[in-house]
Amino acid sequence: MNEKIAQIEKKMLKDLEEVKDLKSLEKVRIAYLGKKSMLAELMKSIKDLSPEKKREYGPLVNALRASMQDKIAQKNDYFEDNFNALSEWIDVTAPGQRVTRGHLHPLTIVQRDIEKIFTTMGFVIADGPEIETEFFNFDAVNMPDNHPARDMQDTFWIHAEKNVRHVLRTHTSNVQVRYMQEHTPPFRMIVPGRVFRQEATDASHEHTFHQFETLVVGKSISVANFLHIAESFFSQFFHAEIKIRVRPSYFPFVEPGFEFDISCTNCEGSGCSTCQRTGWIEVGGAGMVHQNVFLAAGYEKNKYTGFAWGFGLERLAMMRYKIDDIRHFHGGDIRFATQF
Amino acid sequence: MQYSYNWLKEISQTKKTAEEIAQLLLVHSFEVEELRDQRKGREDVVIGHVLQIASHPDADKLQIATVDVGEEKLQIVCGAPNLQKNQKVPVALVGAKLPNGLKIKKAKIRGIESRGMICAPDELDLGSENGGIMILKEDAPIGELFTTYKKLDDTILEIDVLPNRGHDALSHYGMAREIAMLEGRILNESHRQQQKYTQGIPVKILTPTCSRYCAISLSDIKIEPSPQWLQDKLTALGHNAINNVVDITNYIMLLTGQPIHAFQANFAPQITIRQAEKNEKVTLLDDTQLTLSKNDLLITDGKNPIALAGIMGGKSSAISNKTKEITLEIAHFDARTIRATKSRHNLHTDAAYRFERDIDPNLVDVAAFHAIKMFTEITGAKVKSITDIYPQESQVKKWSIALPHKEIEKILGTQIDQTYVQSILKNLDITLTQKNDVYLCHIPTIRRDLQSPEDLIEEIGRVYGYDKIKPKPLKEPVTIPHHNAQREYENHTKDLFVAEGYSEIKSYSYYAKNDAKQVGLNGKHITVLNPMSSEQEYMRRTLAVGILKSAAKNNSFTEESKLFEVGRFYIPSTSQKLPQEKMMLGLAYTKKSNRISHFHTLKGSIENFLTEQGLHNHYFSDDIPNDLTDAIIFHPTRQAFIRLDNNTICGVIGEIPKRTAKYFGIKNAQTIYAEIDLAVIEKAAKSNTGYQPLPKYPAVTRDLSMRVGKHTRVADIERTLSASAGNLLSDINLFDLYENKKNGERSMAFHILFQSQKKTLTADEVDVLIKKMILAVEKIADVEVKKI
Repeated sequence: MNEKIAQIEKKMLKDLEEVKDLKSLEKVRIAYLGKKSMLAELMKSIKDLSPEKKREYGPLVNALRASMQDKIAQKNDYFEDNFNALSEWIDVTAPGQRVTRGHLHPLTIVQRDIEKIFTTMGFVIADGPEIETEFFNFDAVNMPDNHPARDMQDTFWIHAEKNVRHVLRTHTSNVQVRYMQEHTPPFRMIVPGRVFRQEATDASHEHTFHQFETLVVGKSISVANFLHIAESFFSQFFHAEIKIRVRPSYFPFVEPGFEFDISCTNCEGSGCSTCQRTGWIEVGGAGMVHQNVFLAAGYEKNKYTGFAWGFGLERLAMMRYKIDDIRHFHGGDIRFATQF
Repeated sequence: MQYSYNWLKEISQTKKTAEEIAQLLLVHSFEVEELRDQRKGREDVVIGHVLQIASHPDADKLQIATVDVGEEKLQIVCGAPNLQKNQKVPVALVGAKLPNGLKIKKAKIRGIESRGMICAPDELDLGSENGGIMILKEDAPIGELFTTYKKLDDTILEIDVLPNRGHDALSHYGMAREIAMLEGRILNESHRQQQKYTQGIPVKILTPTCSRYCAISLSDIKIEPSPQWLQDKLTALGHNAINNVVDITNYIMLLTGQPIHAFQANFAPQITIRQAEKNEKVTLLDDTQLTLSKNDLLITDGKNPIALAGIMGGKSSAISNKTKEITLEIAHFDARTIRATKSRHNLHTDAAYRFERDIDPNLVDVAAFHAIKMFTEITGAKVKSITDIYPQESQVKKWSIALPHKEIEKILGTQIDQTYVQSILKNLDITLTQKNDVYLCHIPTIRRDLQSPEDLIEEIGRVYGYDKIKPKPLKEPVTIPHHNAQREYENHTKDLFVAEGYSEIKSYSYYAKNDAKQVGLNGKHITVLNPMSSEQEYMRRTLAVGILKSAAKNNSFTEESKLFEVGRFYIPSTSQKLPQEKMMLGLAYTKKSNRISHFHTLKGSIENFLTEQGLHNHYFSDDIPNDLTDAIIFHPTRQAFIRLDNNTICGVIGEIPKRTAKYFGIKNAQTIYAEIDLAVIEKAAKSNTGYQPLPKYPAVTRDLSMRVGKHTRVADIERTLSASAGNLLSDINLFDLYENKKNGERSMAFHILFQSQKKTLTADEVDVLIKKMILAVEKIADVEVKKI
């Protein structure tokens, strides 16, 4: 019996040595540990032995099986941990498999940023119609018929029934009185949206563009409040400390009215080609809401004060991304949109 | 308007440089768009004396001049026909860079060396080229700098006067008044004609749109060129010098802001101002013939028009070189009338530019004073008579505004000293009476824009300096803003399609009539009354036009493009009310391969989108009526309605027909287009569909494969299978669809999943169900389940 055990062990060790891969290892495993293996026969033959013999050989056979299992496991680990450097080589520099990604339009990205900043400052996002009555686009914001300011905004007129004409809104200010009619101050709101001007296009002019309107109304809103909101917004938007400069200007729906500049985002005010060496970049118009606008909204005269300001989304996007031609925004060229 | 720095300095007594004035105005008043130093570009131009002229050996039109420029004698090749020996001429030396950008270099012209250039007026930006080089007076000192000789020592400021300040600031007096005010002074006010005359030629005002008319009759006029200083001044400010009469009227307008017109006196023996008759004709100075309406205002000789009031004089009464007597008109007309006439007839003149900005009728006195002075001094004219009719005089006087001090501080948001406010108002020539903390302000008639307390607060704010106001946070309580659900939905939609590989575009809100027709929208559109091009005729009723144009553009450089747009379209209203604006989603998948239909590529993305909204029961149906008009035309057998249920269509999808694709410029490619009404989806979307417990027992999967007829639809099979399976069926998935190109036979294979929430299903239970399903599905014509 002893002899038989030793023989099996010796043969197996020899066979195991010749094993070259996992496949031949499995053959060895079946041959020595399988149901029909010599070891299985040996285990079977033990059953027929006397109790003393069983006690003598049993542990020996079990030890042999354990040792065989162990050796095969070791061999198995060896093969699993080792690999063929040549046949299993891959080119890690080849491009990865990518799902084609779509892209948001840059104006959407900029608009979202702006909306997020204003929302955190407690502003409501409002919307209004793009085709508008003459009243809300002009009269309500203190631009009555024959007002010279109507000339400042070249208007697309829309045919409606029975000699009534509407306009393609020339600014987002059309929403000012619409919103005020529905709400009682104090409030803070913004209106982003598409506006239209009947003018020829070039690298810096478009007949279709987007504006952003801000309106804050309360019991004692001041120029100082406007400066604070404007500074906070632009600093957030450009992730820099932005200063605001206010200059006198004229818009019929505000009094006092101003144009506002921000400190140049490129040179931080020291003067460069972006700001034409002035250190300032003209961004938009603003002012204290004209009492006539409050009257148009049905508010009592002199009960409230407020500020309104507006600027072009395209202009901010052009500043942020250094885009040199406004016509790209509506050009529909996917090579433009996919850069953002 | 262009302003002369020297002139502003003389009137305002400022000590500031032109640059300092520009900065001062920028911060407190107006933007200065340009500063133009007259010396610039003319630094290296000197006075030369033409000593000799010889003809050029190789060119008929060229001559060789020897010019003495003081320090040396230069040989210059010149092509001017008026070049003559002994002339004094401006010579640009080698190295000069002229106002038009021309650099003067030593050159050989047709083989002859030329050192410098003899200049024409336009080359020095001093008027238009007229017949050759500029010829100077005989006594011009040789070698002297041209700018010194011509007294070109001014700086021209191009100032952008705000629309509400046109009435007081579009003149040198006006701008000097502004500068002095900013420096804390009141301008030493100009002289005025004090006396009122009514005894001159008869003047009748028959309309309220003329508030004042002053006619000054002058005799013994000799029409001739103006003195050089006057010509130079006008030229520098962009006006052509014409003759002494016209030049003086222009000069006074630039000085005071008041337009003046000169008639030949014998054509205006009497003057009547009236509205025009309907269809009345007038011929203007520049030979323009106009047909007028009742809203136009005329100056007549009692009968016939002699001028279109406030805009331009008439041809018939125009002065000529022989004129000896003239009548000067210094008047005031209604701003709206002038503006309307100007726009109606498209006449942009300096006079109209000022009248439409509602100048002060009292300016007439200032202009009359200067007119009388200059005409007598310069032309030797004698004042024959003056008539000054001023019907609205009683209405044009100072008005008062009560301004509480606390209002100023409230609106500006800063504390400001009362004495400071008083001095600002005083420097604005506003007289003050103060009661407690309220200023009662008496406004001078020149400042017609100051009508309300806010107008005054603006004056105080800008003079005080907005830069001195410290930013202050809002004090009003912040409430959490209502969210804009529609915007969030748009954003969500955009993000989902970006994840599907689609890129966002934005296209115009209008398109051409023919574009609409080509995509199939033959019905009513909202029309733009004043489009600039045919691309702006119709307000869009589909996003397809913009997206297909973009697809065509991208088609030239990509194999495949995926585009979307979220934007509004506009449904015409049948009443005077505003049209409905709908937020739509347009999608296009374009691929340069026509071998197979790409319908399902786009469909898959839309299915993902709808499923994400919890709209699991959506389906694509081909129940499209044949007689559909005024709808996007698709390939007839490759289109579907996108339905949420039997009653709700949320959109359409289909292959763009070849003819449409070709029209938009999409070549060798197939485009699948879909358009979805976002409001319908938003309304139906289920944002929270609740929680489904995870299965406790394993699912059993069976595959079923079948041959089906040529036009048997997947939906029909799925519906039959699911109807016959009972509630243990948990899912049916098509995993293979094969079409035999030769015989058109199709086969489909489905994964079918059974699952119970209560126990593990046995094979026998599932077999019974499968048999029932096979039985049911084989009842459909042309369906035969393959044996597994």
